[in-house]
Amino acid sequence: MATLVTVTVQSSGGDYTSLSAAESGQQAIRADLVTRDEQLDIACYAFEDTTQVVFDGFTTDATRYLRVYAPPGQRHSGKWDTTKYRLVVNVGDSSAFRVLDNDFRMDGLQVYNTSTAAGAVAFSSDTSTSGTLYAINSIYRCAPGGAAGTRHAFNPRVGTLYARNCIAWGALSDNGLSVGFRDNLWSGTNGYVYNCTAYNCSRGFHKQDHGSNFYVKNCLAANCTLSFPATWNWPSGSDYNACDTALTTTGNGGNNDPPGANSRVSQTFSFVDAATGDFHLLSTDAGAKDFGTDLSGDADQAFSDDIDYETRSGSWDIGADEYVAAGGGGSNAKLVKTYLG
Amino acid sequence: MAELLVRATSSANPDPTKDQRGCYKRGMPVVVMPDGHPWGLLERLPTFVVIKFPLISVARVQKYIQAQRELVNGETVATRRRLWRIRWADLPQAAQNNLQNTGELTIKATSDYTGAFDYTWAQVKVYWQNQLTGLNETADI
Repeated sequence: MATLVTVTVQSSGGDYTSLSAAESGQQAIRADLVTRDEQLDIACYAFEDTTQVVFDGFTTDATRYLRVYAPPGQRHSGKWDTTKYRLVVNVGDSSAFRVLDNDFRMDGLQVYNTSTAAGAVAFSSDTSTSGTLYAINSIYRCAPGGAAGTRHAFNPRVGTLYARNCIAWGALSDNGLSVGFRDNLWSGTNGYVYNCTAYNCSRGFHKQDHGSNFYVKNCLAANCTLSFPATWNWPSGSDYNACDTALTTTGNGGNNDPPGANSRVSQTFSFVDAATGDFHLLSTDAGAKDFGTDLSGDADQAFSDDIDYETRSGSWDIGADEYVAAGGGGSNAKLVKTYLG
Repeated sequence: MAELLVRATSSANPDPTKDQRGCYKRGMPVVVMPDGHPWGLLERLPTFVVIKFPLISVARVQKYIQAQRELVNGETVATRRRLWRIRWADLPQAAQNNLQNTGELTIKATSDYTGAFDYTWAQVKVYWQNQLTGLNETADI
């Protein structure tokens, strides 16, 4: 079993004062995690980190991987939180956070590219076809508006993608091409995007014609110009999704409809405060609440919590948040690794 | 003033593409912060040194932490971790000693600064090399 090594990123008093410096510093010490038989955890504490981050140069595998996370008490509460760890960067024609190393996990992070220039992306990756990315309970944000060009919130190019309980927000541009959750996977590979929410994007969840299987389950698109556009077929198995746009055409290919026989269109979602990035469901929500499917036994990505690390139970809600009445539900506040593999 | 965190060691990857694109080499700037920044416990020797530029804003030093980017197959991508790199081995011996012993250098880059410094920018910029062109820096900060 690999030895777990943990370093910290804090505004002061920690090992590093930026995630970028942590990546460089740890690369100096342990670039080859496989030979060292180590798994590296980078714990990000509450502050605004303003340096662009690129992870590259490491040698990893399925059990000797990189993980960047915000510990309990330092991470967002299921909505954009300026009192917790956040990466806020202004970079045009580039990503605020980019991963080129295989075997990478991110958990509880907030990533925001404030640039409105063309190509300003919040998160992107470009690994080999054997690369694996876990994106969990994280928020990816772009600055909406502007005629400058395409800006994506979450743009992964990996071999296998596991994304759950994430929010993509503000990937909106005049050219209509910016995407919240973008299928940029390698041909022949699989992406499992479950219980994610896209809000105010030109395209909420976009299935492209790359020959990949980009599965969406329990995903929610709200206030998006196009909710689930597909330039190629959504893979069979995608289901229980919802959007507020009307039905366009039935079937796959070139339409805007959430895939799956149990998916819902023309819904009205009730969020706590969407304008400020709080996409928690209200008790009165009738569009997403209780209309999802239980994925705790999913063959590809089994989990049982939501973006707040609260336990999902009963009839699952669609989207990143599971409505839990005050005093009810449980919390997986302790970070328990439920990663596959 | 700006404070530039610079790698004092080189990393390597057996994949030559990943090595050039992803690995920091000695002398490559990593991040830039405002003066008085409380560097972390590991942001120092042996891995890093700090180069200080009194009265120079962070924005004016930002260019030294940009990646080398080139047009490849119609797409602009990063091809080297940093465009700029300090030619560490060519620095005056006194500068190398200072970096290795104290982990810091102070560079006077404006006439407005009248405090203590190790070198002027005019003296050291020739050691800052553009990795794409191979040319040494000639510009003022």
